[in-house]
Amino acid sequence: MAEKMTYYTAMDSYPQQYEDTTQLYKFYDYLREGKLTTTKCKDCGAIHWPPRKICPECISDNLEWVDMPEVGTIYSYTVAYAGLPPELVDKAPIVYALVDFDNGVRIFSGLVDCEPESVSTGLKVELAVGEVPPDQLGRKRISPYFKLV
Amino acid sequence: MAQPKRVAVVATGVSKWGARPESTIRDLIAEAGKECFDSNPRVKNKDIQGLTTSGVYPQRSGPQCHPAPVACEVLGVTPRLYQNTDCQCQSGAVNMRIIWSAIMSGLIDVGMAVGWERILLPNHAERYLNASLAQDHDWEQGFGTTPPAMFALSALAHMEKYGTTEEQMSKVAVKNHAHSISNEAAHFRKGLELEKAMGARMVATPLKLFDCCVNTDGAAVVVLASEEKAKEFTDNPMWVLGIGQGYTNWTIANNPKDMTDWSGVRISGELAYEMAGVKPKDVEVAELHDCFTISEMIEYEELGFCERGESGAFVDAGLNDYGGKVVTQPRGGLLACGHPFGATSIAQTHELFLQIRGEAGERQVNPTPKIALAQTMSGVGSQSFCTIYGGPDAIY
Repeated sequence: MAEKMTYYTAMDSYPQQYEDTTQLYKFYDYLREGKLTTTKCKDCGAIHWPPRKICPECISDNLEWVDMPEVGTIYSYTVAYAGLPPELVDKAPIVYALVDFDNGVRIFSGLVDCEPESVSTGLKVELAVGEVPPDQLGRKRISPYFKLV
Repeated sequence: MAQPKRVAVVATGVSKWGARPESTIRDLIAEAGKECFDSNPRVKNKDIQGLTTSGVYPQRSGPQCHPAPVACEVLGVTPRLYQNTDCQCQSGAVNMRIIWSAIMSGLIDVGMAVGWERILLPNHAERYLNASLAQDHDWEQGFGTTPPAMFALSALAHMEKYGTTEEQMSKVAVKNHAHSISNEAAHFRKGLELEKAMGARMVATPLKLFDCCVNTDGAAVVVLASEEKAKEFTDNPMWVLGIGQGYTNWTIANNPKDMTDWSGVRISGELAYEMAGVKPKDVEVAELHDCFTISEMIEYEELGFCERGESGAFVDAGLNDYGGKVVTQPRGGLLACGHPFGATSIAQTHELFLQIRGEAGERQVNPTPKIALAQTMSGVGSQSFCTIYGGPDAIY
């Protein structure tokens, strides 16, 4: 096969974000507005991460989108110099962190716009929306990252 | 009620592990399969009634789907039970459990578990993609992380909570690289100086190069048999005394809030100990999942070899090595042997089979161990499989 092959999802590490490709597209609709959200069960009150289609506590599908707290706290972090995808190699090192919020949710993501040596556990962070490669139809995609407050 | 069946390991083999670009999936299976049959001439390919395979990436590295009958054809086996399984790094153990379950249920009397990985694909993007696929596609994979960064989060948590040091982690790597010198199948056999480990380049803080295992091409094969058949095949069977699998969560965001709490590992151990009727203090030799140095250390704690938070002192005292409390990673572990996901658990079993039969040569644990433990893990401590084996005279 002489032509370069393209793949639909199997080679795509980034999430689907639009109504025609995921039922949780509202997460990205809100994220495009600069809001970090997740789902909450209207029956049992559980707050989920990641967002859900059904509640894993009570299997209800009666869920609502709720705003995450604006500020979280770094529980643990790492500065990654290797093991990165081709599109991040030139940007190394990349800081990754587990971030705790006071609604009980913990989120794993990248920490952007920071000097690695300025990061430590216990620091406060807030949402930073970053662009990632476009989807298979060429549409813009974004990801929820964090930055130091 | 009928006496419960017993299942024994009666033959094992491994291929040479390492960078094996010259070998296809068929080549690796043939190499390990021949080693396995050669290990016990009484076991013939025509005796094998079930053949199951474990390979995590055949659809990327063949590419090949439905690999179980490929192995059947390569090894001349005509089974009445066959399938492939993928449970990421636990794949080999889960593979063996399929054969164990089939023997326990009476479906078959003799079965073979074949595991391999052909994972060192020819470019960075391909290798990266393999390494990233074990994270959740929709919510965590897209951040660009691979296992070192994920395990680093536990390493930092353990250092901050318990004062564990980078030197203690490096000592685990030094131990495992020393063990593999006599292991002809290992990826690395040159040993490792502590200064070299401490001075190695950073991968993901605080984990440096030798804190991390490498992806490796390789295969491993084991034959399991019912008690009746095992006694026909060998006077020195290794009995499967207990198995257990633990699960707490999938996404790393949902790990236990304390990242030093690897409940998945603990649960797998508790279940296996309970089924086997043995205690942590009874284990004389252990093959643990040292995908990273910190992994092996937290596993000491979760499997009861030392108290929670004391794995650093356990390492400093040498209690994890020959002459200590329990010999860990006699073949060299994942750190020195490499980690072909689908084969790793089966190679652990191969090593323990040698140890329990007194056939491990320069790295033989003395006195010959009667109780051995193998553990493998997917996720950061959140998913784990533990197996306890007993020597020929083990009572259960």
